[in-house]
Amino acid sequence: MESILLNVLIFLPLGAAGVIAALPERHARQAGSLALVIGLITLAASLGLAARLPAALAADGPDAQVGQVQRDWITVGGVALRYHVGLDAVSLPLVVLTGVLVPLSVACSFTAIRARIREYYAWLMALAAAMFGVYAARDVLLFYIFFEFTLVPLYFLIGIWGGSERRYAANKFFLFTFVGSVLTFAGLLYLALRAAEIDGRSVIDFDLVRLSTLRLGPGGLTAAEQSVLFLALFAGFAIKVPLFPLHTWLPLAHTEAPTAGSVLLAGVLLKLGTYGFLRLSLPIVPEGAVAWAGPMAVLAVAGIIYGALCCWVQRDVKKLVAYSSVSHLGFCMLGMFSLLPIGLSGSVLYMVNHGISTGALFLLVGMLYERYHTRDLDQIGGLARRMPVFAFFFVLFVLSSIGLPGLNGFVSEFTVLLAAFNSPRLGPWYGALGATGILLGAIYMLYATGKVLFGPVKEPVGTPDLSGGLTPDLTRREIAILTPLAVLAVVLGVYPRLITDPLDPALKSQILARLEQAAAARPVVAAQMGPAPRPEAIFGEKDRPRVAAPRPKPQVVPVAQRGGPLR
Amino acid sequence: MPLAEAQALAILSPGVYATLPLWPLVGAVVVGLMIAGRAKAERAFWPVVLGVAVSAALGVTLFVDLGRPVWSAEGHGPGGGGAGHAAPAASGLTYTLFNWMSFGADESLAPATNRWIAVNFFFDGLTGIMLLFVTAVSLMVVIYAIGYMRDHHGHPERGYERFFAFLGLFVFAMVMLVLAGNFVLLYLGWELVGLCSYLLIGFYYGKPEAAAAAKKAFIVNRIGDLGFALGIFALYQFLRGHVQPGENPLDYAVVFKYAHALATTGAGLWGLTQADVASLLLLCGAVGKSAQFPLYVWLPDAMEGPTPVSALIHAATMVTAGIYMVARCTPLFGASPAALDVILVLGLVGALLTATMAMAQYDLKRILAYSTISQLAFMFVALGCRAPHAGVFHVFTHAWFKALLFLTAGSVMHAMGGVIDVRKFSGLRTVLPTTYRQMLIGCLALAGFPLLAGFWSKDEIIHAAFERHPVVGGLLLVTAALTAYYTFRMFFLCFHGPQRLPPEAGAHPHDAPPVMTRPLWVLALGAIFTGYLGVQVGAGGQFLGVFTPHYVFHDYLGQSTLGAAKAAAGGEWLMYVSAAVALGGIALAWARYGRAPAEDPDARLLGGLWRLWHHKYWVDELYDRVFVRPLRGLGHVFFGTDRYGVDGLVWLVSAVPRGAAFALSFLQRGALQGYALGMAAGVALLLLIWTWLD
Repeated sequence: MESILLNVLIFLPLGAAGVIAALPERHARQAGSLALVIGLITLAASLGLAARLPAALAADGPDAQVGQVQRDWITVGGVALRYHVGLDAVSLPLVVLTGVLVPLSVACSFTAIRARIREYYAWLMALAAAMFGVYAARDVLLFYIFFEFTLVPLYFLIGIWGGSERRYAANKFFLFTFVGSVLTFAGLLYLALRAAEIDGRSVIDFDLVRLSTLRLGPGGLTAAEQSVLFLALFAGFAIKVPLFPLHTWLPLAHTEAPTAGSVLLAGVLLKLGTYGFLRLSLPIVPEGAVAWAGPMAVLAVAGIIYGALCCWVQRDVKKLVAYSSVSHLGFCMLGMFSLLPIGLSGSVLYMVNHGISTGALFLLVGMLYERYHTRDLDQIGGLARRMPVFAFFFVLFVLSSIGLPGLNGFVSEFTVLLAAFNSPRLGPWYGALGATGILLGAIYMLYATGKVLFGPVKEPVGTPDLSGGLTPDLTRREIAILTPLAVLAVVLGVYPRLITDPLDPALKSQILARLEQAAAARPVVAAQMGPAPRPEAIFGEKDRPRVAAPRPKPQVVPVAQRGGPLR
Repeated sequence: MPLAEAQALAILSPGVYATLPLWPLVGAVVVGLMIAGRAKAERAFWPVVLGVAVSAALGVTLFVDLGRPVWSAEGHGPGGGGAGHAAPAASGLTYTLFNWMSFGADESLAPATNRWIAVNFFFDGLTGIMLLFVTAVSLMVVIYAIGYMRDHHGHPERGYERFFAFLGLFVFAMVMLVLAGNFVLLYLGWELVGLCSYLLIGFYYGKPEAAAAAKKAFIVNRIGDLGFALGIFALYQFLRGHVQPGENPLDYAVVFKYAHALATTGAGLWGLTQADVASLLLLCGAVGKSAQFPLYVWLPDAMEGPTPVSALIHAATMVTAGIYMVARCTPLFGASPAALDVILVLGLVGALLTATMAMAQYDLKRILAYSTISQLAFMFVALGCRAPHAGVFHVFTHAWFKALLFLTAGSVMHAMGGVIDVRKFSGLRTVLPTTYRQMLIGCLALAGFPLLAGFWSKDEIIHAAFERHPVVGGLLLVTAALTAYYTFRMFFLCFHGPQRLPPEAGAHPHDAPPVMTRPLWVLALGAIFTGYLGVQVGAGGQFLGVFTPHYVFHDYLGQSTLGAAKAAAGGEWLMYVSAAVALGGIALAWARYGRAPAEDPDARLLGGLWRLWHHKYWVDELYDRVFVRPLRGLGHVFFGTDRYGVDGLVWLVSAVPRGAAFALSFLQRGALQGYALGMAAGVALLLLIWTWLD
């Protein structure tokens, strides 16, 4: 039953893509409805899978999977590609998020997309299939295939239905992400070869669990190998995230993409990068991750500040939301590379919450654009008077985005910053500089809110354009699109344990245990640099994971000197 | 030493008190649904008024309930006040509702049930006092708003329902802030009241000034909150090494238990102790929320909001949250002399600075706003002098008379057709007789007129200041004199002199309807009598032979994290001095402004100094030049870099191999591969460069 649900998730949209593309001309108008039905079915399937997780966890422990399917697919010359999918507590939240966003992005296209309708929904469905596949994959090669496969539909979605610079945006998007993932692919190939060698097997396969429990240290993956492999994986994932300064494709792609594309790009596809780091980089090359944690966090913090300041000077509201993703994903990466339990947990939560709030903001910007045909903040203003319902949702999701406690964004923002501040790998200065993001976030988001909603009413001549059944304020359809996200924002703000309760043990057993293993293999030596440690100094760090170290008494813990660029 | 539940709360169970924040929220949600259902605005206030009323009833019950040990205690001996009366040791009851946020699978927090940030509430004497005035003043303001938010014909203003929904949300947030039992939940209340403040300042969002003021309030508060959040992170770090199994590092009870340990451990940062670092960071939040120097700039602008909001949020309740927080954390701040000194200095600077600004304003509400900042600064000084009881006492009395003042100002504004410039009207004494009497009571209380509420609490602070240092006390006396002077300058300009009315007032301006004046009488009673909770009346007193400071209020407050209050010793003469100072200020104001002269005599007399005050020392302009513009400039630089620099660099780096590939392409005959290869190598090279740079 569960495996059927998971197969539905991946193959139903894929099949639907073919059917929609092949719809006869006279049924072209039904393409959207059909896609919406498919989207709702996938949503139901993802919720069905999520509902079965508690039972599976009770039966099989924290690593339990639901809907596992494993088949040998292609075996050529000693290389085995398996079709192995399954969902666990780490991937399920993201799958449910995808399940929620797919039908919404279909529904938001009904009035916006008026040309080449069948093709459009076909590509959207193909994209959905790839997104579900990538989170479900339990085989690294399969993961890579789905990962790459997401590029194609999105390339066409941007390139055909995008804004005025769509060609350039689509090309740049494709090249950036493709080039990065080529390096990732090379790294994965090398990894699989070494894994077979280490384990002494003749068949080279890409099983996720096998790779992420590979022997480390002598006779296994060496620290140097892990370090280089980390960089190879970095190339693909960091561009996808996107991590500063590899983010330049993102504002363009987001801005030019049609609304549905932006929503899925921000809500789901950027998470492929962070999910890749979490699922592959951390457990497979833990020593590499530990070694690079500092530089990664530096890039994350730089991205938080840089992205936020770029937001503040935008005139195009969609570009502003796009840049906010650079800043937000910086938070996500910062939490992850704190390598602390609370940081990893917060980082996964951040992925989901960013999908909700930024996805909703892109939806809102799309609704605005449909009516006013501009996204220029200087041409619109005071719309709270014209569109009170729109204003309500806009303010709600802005607040969610800037981490207002009680809404979803706060929980993840607070936990990742707490983690960075307390991480023995990073430290208070990382947390403090990252936390400036909560101030800058308020600045740019309220700047946008003030421009769009407040002040005297300002509208371009001849607008709002109410063709296609639009009303001055949001239509029932649009309210129905935004309401589920609003409910999620509140529910996850008040009760984030829906996600973290199953997530925390899974992270511990799959990733944190592995990191501890790496740390034990190569203990960090404290206090070897600099002057003699001052006994009172523990502002830096005090409880790095050392082997069998007794809990340090605060008074006698030596200062730990780590030369970070921020110190 | 936590009190046993039965011992602490007997009238109702903690679970019932825990619903206290919920009722206004329910009211707000119901109004929200009414808006969504397009119900008529006429009756939109009912759900919120009822919700706040239920909360107020619970608040009063809780106040009585928590005070049972005090009420039943025998013998407030005459003369010595509560000196011999030992309040129970600092204690409180923590009541957990549910676990909220996860710390992750953090092994250092044992047992696993403790890896949570909970939604838990903390009940002690301070909670009781705060909830009493927060819910009671809120109720008065909400009732007043029923009438205020209408036009001259009694029709609801545009956004009437929205206003009440926001007010309900605010009361919910404020009660959460006060009830919170851990720092993260405190932060939740903290940010939510900030949000309500934002929404309500920007209530007239069509006005650009209101929209800008709302944004400014939120952002300036966020500057403080940034420090506050870091303070929480630091506490977590410092306490993780101390907590025993079963203790959560961010719960009040746990933090205060180990506060002394933090005071003896260095933080490795500029020679500060851990208690210093945590206190100073938390203090940032208090400076923002309580509008203290240097983050006070948002509060005067916040007067763009409707007047009931100014009364409730920007005078009586929300802005006292910073004082509340520092008082609540007395064990922590008390362990950090450095933080206390900073509080003291900020308080002194703020009190004087804003009192002088208030001297030279004409906007009725802004004068009151500056006086609020100045009074909050008084409370800060009390906290800095290790006299948190005096600070909280002033919070308590101030809430009544400042709410009264703002609401009477609202009545004036209502009658004057929205005009609040005191130059545009005068002699309103006969036009608005009720408002005149009510505002007189408020002004007397604010000015520290003897025997009114403000006199007692302010005097206690001045007393503590003199114990700390004569200079501190002297500066406060000067500020008190200025306060009396500018308060009555405003009062005389409005109500005395020849009768002048602005054209906006219409033909027959009149006093407000009963729905507005009745709650004001309640507040006026508070402005007169609430002081006597802290002052014993009886023969042989220190002041006029009848009054002796330190009474049940202090004993009540002693049963909290503040600990028992020191009884005032000596310095009886000080009460006569501060009474004289208040009377002198009022008299001087009468002499100069008693006839509401059309030309401002101070402006002529003080010249450049007056202009400096009038322009508020050009602090807003300074902040704009020093902080806002450079930061935004940096944004432009970054965005420019993004468009031309980083992007260009990536392409440039990739161009070298691309060029090579192009040169060799006639060998390969594969332009596309060459292109991709060039890009790949380019990105790789860029990454390598980065690694080296790092």
